[in-house]
Amino acid sequence: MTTDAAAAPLAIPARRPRTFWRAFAERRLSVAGLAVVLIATAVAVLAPVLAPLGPTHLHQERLSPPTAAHPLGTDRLGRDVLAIIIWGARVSLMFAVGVAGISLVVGIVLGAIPAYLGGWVDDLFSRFYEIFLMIPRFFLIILVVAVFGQNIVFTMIIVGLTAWVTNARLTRAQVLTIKERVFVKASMASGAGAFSVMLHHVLPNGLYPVIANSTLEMAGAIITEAALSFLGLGDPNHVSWGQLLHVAQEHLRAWWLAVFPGVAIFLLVLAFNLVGDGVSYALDPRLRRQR
Amino acid sequence: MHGLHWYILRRAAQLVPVVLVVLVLNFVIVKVSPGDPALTLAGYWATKEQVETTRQRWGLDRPLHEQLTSYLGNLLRGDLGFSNHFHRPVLDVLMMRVPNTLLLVLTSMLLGMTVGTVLGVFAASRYGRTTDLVLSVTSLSFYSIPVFWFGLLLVLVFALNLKWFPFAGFVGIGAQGGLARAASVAWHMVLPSVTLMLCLYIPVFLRIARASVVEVMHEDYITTVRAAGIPERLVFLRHALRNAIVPVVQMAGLWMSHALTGVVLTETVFSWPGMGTLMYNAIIQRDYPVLMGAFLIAAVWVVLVFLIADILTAVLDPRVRYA
Amino acid sequence: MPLLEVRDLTVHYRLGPARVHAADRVSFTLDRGQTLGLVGESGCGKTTVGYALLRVLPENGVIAGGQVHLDGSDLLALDAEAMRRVRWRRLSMIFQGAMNALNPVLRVGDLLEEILQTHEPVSREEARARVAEQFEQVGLPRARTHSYPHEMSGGQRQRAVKAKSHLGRPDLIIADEPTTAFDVILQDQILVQLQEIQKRLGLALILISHDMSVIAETCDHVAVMYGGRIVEYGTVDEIFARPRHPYTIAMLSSFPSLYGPARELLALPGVPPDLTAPPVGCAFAPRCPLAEERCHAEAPAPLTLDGDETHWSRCHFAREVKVSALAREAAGAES
Repeated sequence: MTTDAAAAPLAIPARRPRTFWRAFAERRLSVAGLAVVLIATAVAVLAPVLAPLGPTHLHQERLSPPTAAHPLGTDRLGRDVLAIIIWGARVSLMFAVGVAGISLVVGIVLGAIPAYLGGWVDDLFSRFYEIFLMIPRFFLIILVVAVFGQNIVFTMIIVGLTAWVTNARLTRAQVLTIKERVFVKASMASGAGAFSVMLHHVLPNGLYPVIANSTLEMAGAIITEAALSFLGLGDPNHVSWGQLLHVAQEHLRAWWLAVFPGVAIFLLVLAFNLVGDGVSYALDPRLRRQR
Repeated sequence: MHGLHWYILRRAAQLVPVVLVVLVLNFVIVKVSPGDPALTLAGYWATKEQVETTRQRWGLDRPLHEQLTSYLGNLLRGDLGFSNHFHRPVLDVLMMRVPNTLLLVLTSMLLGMTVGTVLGVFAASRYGRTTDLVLSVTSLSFYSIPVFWFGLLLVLVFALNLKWFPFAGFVGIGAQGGLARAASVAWHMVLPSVTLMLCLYIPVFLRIARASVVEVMHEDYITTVRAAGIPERLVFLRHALRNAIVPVVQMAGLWMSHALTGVVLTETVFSWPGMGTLMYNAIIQRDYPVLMGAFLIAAVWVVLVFLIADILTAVLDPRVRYA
Repeated sequence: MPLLEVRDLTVHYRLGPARVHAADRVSFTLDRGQTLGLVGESGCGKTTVGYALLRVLPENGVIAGGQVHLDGSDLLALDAEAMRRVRWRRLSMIFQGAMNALNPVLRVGDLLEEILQTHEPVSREEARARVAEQFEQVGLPRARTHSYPHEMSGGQRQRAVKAKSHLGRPDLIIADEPTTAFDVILQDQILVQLQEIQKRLGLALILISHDMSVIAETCDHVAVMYGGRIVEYGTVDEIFARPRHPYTIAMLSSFPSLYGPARELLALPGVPPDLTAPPVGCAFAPRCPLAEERCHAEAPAPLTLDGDETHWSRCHFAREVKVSALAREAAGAES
């Protein structure tokens, strides 16, 4: 109790979600992006209702152009493209969230620890980030997925594990700044343990830039998944938008195979990028001042 | 200038670990790959003898530290392994393809970098106005388009339907002789490089250049020259741009590994006979040594780009030379 | 006619949908050869006034009203090109933080030559000679013209910035916190040199500072700013001897005396006002020990004191005993 009392007048500056949303709402396009993300999420959740036959049901019509029965056409096996896109939203979104989640956790841990400890540990980690940043990620991912097998969860973990560096650097910078602020020093002085200070004061205040970055990372993850599937490294047990594009390459005359899944990828990626843009805008008073 | 030499040497030394880490990663992947590492290296359809030869050449039957040294030793001698699919050493296979990739990358990168930077500077000079907003949103949209999809669309529209451009390959069959061949290659390169420029290089450099110029325009020294009555045009052209170019160069270096990713995908769409198409085939054929070689080459590329960016930074920014 | 006459200068910053009222109806005059001190806490609008006089506000800053007459011509009415020719030539500013005030990729001499040649039709050689000469006058070796900013010490950079300002022989120099970030000995040198040059060239000086001791040493007149307004104005002797605004009194009591320990101004409870929604009444009222109901409801008009037209205070009680009693109390506690 005594520590709380000592820190009370210097408590964490109130985070004001109201201000955040108001600033975010100033950016109309970011709001539109958020709407697209929410719609995609709804589609993914409602997939069994929207496309009850499932994505792998084989219809009579193969390589059929868009018709009333199949608004976006069918592929060479007779699978309905619309159904694949609806079910594919699940794969894309889960992949994006998984990658962002893994890189968030790993990034925060690998960023906060060295910044908090400082000294040679910090120097060592900084060098480590620098090296990791230069490793050609996509080539590594291709190699690992090709060698170890095409399983969507495994791929998600690998992509997540190669995406943490930016989060770590952001966390590190945040922790270094916040460590110097009054309220943290006050809690330390009042005898709170390092870990508890970190958990209760430093991280909640430093998380925002990392969250903005995670939104952008989700956009990147969706493209990465699509790219791997496009190269033939997709999980054969799940449908995905990228896999449709892989097939489309061999049936270029069936334009609907190429056009629709691409539109889906493009819209979702753009939506995440716009949301990320809006989040950074709402979080950075310097950006806000200028409009 | 002495300081500059030192700086470059030091940076070069700092870049060596990246290649080492990539080598060790390759080795680790081989070691922990499911099943017999020798089989992984020799390829799915290798004969028993081929697997045994591979095991011996890579020293996979010896203790772990000897394996690593023999592996690194092989690499230093330029032996990246043997591609059973191509029946050639991996290095030979890669070296046949790398120049084609470089041709595509460098052409579209130089063009895209120029156009993107100019547009970004232009957007920054119209900061906060409609032109700026339109340019920013457009570039974000193009950046959100997957290159491989945009490539497919271009093939659909311009190659298959309009028949303006060839839809795949490197050079036409009939193109004999130096000039005709070069023209044919350039013709084949239009669609892939347009894809790369529109979806990758132009948006990326537009954003980097814009952000950098906007940042610099808020610096104190800009207010100083403005307050000293330097005409606005010169404030922008002489003082802001000269300072803004430094972060542009540095960010450009950071982006280059991404650049190769886009190229791999674009090559696949257009069957451009470079590293990307090679990797695509290697994936299908489970030709792992080729993928490892490509990973290594990509790392070398990134390191070289970083070094060039560092040298350019040092030349452009007098502060760096003494840092 | 005074050299500079500022009347009702009002500056806003756009901040998202909000507007920050950074300077509110600021008025003062300044004669040739005189020094005016603009003093106040950070965020009180003193630097904004400096930027507005030169019309180099950041792009979200708007001059919402008022006039700035320099030698009779209204600077706010000039077109951009005419204003550009006034800058440096007639009116020059030394910005806070000499660290970042010089373009890092240019040699200092080249920068100064460029500025000189922008305003005067001089040859390169002539420009070079004049820059070198100016360097010597501010106490920098000629060779320093070939240096990049990062190769110079903080003090040298400060001198280079000063050389830049003096080179144009302006009528008026605005110096924004010229001594902040330097140690006491260097601070003193900087001030002495500013005064020397001022005397020699007969130019007017506006000194922006948060430091009462700097003001006391150099200025003829003082304008104390709080919450975007000038709350008290007078000669330096008057202000120090007979402060008539509670905020000025608080500022003075924080001024470290030679013997006693420095006392913190922020012993005053509370924080400066939120300028996105300026208070109806006196901006200082929430922190003022003398505040009454009236202070929160009604903004005080400037009251002149004891028939002395040059000393005024924006306090309802400026002429009353309780203000002078507060001043005495503060001075008493001091000694």
